[in-house]
Amino acid sequence: MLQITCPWCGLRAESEFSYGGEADIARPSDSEALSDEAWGDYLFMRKNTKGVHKEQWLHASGCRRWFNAERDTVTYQFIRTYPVGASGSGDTHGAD
Amino acid sequence: MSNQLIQEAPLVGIESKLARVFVKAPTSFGLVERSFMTHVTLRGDPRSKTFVDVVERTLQLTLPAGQAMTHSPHGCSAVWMGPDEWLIESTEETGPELETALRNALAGEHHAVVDVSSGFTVFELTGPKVRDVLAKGCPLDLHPRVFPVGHSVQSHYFKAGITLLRIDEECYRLVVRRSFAEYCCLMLLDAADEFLR
Amino acid sequence: MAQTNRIAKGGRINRGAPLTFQFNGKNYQGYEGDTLASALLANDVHFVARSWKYHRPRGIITAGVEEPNALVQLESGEYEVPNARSTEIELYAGLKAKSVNAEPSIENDRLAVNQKISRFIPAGFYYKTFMWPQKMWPKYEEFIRDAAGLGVAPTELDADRYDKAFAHCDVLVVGGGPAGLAAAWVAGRAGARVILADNQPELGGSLLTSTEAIDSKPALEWVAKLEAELATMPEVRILRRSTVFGYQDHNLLTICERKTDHLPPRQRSGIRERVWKVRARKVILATGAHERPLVFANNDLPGVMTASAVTTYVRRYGVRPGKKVVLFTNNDAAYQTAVDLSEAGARVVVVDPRPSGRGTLPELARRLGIEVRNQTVVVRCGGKLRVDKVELARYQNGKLAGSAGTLDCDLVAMSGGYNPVVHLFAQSGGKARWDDEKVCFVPGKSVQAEASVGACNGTFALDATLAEAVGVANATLEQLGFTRGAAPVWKTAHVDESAILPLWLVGERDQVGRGDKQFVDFQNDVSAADIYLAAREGYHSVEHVKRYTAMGFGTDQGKLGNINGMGILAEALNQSIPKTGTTTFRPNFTPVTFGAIAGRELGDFLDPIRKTCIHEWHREQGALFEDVGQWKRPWYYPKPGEYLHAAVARECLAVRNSVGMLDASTLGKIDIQGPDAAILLNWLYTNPWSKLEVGKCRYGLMLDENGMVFDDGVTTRLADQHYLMTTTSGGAARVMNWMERWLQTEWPHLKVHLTSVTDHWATFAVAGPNSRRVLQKVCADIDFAAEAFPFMTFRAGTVAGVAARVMRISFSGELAYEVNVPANFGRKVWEALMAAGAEFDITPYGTETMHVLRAEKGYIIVGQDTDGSVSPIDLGMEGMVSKTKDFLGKRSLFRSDTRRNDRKQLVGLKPVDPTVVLPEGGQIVAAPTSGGITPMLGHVTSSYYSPILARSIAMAVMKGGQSRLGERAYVALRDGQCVPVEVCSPVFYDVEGKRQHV
Repeated sequence: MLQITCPWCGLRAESEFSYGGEADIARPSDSEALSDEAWGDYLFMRKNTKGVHKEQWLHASGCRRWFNAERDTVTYQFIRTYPVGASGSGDTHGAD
Repeated sequence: MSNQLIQEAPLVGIESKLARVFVKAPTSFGLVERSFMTHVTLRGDPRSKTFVDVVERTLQLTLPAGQAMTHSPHGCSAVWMGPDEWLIESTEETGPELETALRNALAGEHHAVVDVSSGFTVFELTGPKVRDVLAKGCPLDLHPRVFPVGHSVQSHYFKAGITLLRIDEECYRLVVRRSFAEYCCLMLLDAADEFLR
Repeated sequence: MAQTNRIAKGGRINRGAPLTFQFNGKNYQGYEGDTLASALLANDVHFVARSWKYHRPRGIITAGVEEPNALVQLESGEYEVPNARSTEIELYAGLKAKSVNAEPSIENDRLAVNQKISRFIPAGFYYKTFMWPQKMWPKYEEFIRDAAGLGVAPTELDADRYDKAFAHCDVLVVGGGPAGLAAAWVAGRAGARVILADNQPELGGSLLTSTEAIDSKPALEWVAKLEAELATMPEVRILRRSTVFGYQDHNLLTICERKTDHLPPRQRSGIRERVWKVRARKVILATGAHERPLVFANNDLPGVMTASAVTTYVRRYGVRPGKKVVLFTNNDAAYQTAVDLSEAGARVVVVDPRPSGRGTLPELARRLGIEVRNQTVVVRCGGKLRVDKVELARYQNGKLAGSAGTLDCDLVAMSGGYNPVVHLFAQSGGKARWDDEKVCFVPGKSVQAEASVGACNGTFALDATLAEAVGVANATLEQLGFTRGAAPVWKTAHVDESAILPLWLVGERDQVGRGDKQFVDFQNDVSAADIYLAAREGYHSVEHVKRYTAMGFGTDQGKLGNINGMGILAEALNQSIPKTGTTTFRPNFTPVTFGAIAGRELGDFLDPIRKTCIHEWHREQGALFEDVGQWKRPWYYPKPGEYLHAAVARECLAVRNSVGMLDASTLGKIDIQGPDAAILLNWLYTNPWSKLEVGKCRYGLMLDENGMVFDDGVTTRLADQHYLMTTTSGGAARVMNWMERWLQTEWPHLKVHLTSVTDHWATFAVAGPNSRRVLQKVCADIDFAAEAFPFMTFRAGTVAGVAARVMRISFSGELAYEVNVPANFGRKVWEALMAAGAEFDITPYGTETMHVLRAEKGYIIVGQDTDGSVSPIDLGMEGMVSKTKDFLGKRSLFRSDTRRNDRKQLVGLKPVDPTVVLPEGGQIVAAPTSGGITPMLGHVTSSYYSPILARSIAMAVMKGGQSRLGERAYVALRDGQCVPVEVCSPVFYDVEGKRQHV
């Protein structure tokens, strides 16, 4: 069981969280103008990163906030977690 | 209050079981349901000075900014539930009264106030074995070094979501949703089994 | 014949407490403090098992967790434990155990014949032989599994209680030997929160069998002193009989504490085993080392043991496992065993491949007059059911150099050196490193926050171990922000040692497989020849060799044999051991019972049982309950003598003809507030919401982004910026998370707050032509006249004295109201409504009736008539899909695949015979079929007998269904029959929808 730093509640057990898949997938603004293929890319195509992966987590049994995380898929180490909307890499100070 | 007479607590189905378990009032672990407390969910932006000022003036308490609870002189408490969410508890005012008072005071400010008094119940857990009982189903570190009196956190007890408040050295309050109350209570009693013999 | 091998004095057993136990049907005696293994050896019982594949006679090899052979089926019935290791079972009065792998007994084992054909069934034999003909494999498999297998799975329910607990600490110390004790003591004294876990009943580890002194006193006095001090430290918890079986992610370690296994089953009370889930800021591993066997011919005969095990039996249990002993060792440490045996009155000959050396222990042995034969090896053991002689050979320059005669013996003690127990380190993600000098794998670089100390770190000498433990404990304290603690120097004698001589396989490589088997993995019957065979057949990766030979599987997971196996494989491949590498060490370190893994979350505790505030009333009325998600909902309310069919018919007709009431409190309810609430609803639902007036209700369909229906419900506009959404009972949490996710991650600019109010509001559906009259009796402040309170609107009022929200909505097609009151008042309002309805014979109805009523109207239930692959168009609800706005899932409705007109679409089915109720899930076919491959057109999703229509009805999804109305189709039953049905509209009753508008 991992330990995850909720940006608001601090370090907590993984059992309090649920996983939300890859982060930073913006919903296309004009979806009806998209080709089937482009819409399919948005729906289905995800990275299968070996290394640092940006992903979403929900502190489900906690403050019920969604947040973003950078996690190494090889070591399972969280590099950082940060609120949605805060920028990803570039910020030097992570929440953990 | 007349309301008390016609209300029914969530643990009604296991009241007799509870009475049996605690008939000898064991000192190591105690569990009492504090039913019919007022619970009101408050949502709003803590960065808005107006919002904070109005709430604090109306409730006569300081809104906690992190995992803690604060109290008014009049039996009202604010429990931090998230960056824009608090659970206001009261033993004095009713839910609809509190809801109306806050909603009126906050008119014009983006907020939400929802009476959820019937949606939750509260267990008061006491005794030297409380931590051991909680540790069987809750992944939190409850050591006094990291969980001081006044601290409030949300987590889970087995598969029920809980809000856990440390009221005193050996007294915790566990806030749980009504429909999970019986399950949660039965799990607590089961976990406490070895201390109740 | 009482305990012939028991030494007169010594050991940590209680001779004042003799215990009688039974093994393979015979009664024996042992003492309190014995293990089953030590008690058996005390009675000169060496032959305790048959091996897994060849059914060779096997004895006790070790004295600990690494034991591969001496597995037993412990106790029977509700206390039965398969594959328990007799080296770990603490003896208790009345213990009963029998050998595994042998039927009917180990002496007359039916499959002992396998020994004779063992030459013909090497590794890979089963794979190669039983592949053809392929269709026979299930038969072969059954036979092979029956012939192999270890213990037998218990068939009765386990009588014991198991639980789990979370724990947190600054430092978790694994192992209570000298290193672990020293580290825990230093950390505990400095005020750190320490958990010390040890798998033995008493602390001390290797010191329990040691002759060494600490500060000039017996080592166990030092143990007792530290233990006593640890007991006074409030932040230190000592877990005895506790095996750390897993090093998981992020410094979570899992421990199994055995609390009552040492007691006779009938005397046990409370919890048998507890799994601790410990989150440690830092872990200090002090797990010690396991001795390696040596690999020579017939090294698996009963009476061949590791040297350290012999020492343990002599010194800890007061048992001398043999009188004429050959000690075969490639290192100095094992000479201690010769000393111990000699002191216990045994005759010992030491056989050592190395030239004579000057180490402290060999010198001591010689001084005691123990015969040492240097540059000599044991090449083969002889004996039938127990070793009775060894054949020796001279050993020069790494080669055998001719026979050196034979020795008679009744015990062979062997030592091939020590393997640090790096299992937990490896589980933590660390990679073990080969140490050429120590000839073993030692922990490499740390990956998680841990450090190894003592023998598990390759630090074998006691003085060095204690110094290392103190140093690491202080470094840990510093890392954790404590001030450094004490740095005691405990004085011990220094022991000089000559270097160990690596010796993986005794015998010539070109002779491997020609003579008697040289065993590497005892539990899986893997011999040196099998490893050579694997190498010859091209399996060069150690992981492949493991799978090909089965080396390292089973209950011991290769603790004893794996490193020898890697050494032999390296020789076979002419490469180094580091290049060969190890297989992966995985949790669990030792087997963990299913009971411990399940803990208390069994039966009614498996998942939360959620109840509404009317639950007790339902129960008192004799309702039967149905599980809906985690909820218990009344299914139907049988009157005396009524079964489902009659009760549901009565309930249905009551609603259609008068009035009924349903507890709908389980519906998900979400309070939505804020100026942008309508914008959010427009995104979530397929239909438009901007123009819904205050006080009105609207039904909505929610899609996922694939365009498939995932929830539905009615949302009411309570006030200008205030809505109440209802969701399906099972979908409440999912919908809430879905909404929060979009709000928080995609549209944080929307000013909307969501609050779950599912638990706060009790909801009752009062349905039927008389529902208005019932409500009028208990609610004076709402005008219930049809035009004043029309269909799909909402009014606030006071019902039975309680502030209520009343919606005029219907899931039955009848005139109906949904009354919402705070749940604390629910029971009172429910009873008031029942009383008010008495004159109309108001009938409580359950979910079954609710399902029939809605199916008569063709209303879907998400999750029953849909399965995540059904779009609104498939449901014939295209009219609810807005053309003018975007919403979640909309784009997917226009993909080429979702536009196909041969998709499965919702239809009604009327069986031609109106008395036949179709089975839900039944497959629809175009024509009657008598087997063979038949294309299926769809399946029945809902099916009931409709009392009001006096016929059976069904809903189904069917390929191109909407264009097949009026056609004949068939539903194939399991018994091969086909039921003719007419495809029709799913609306069966009140097609014009007049009844709900009255």
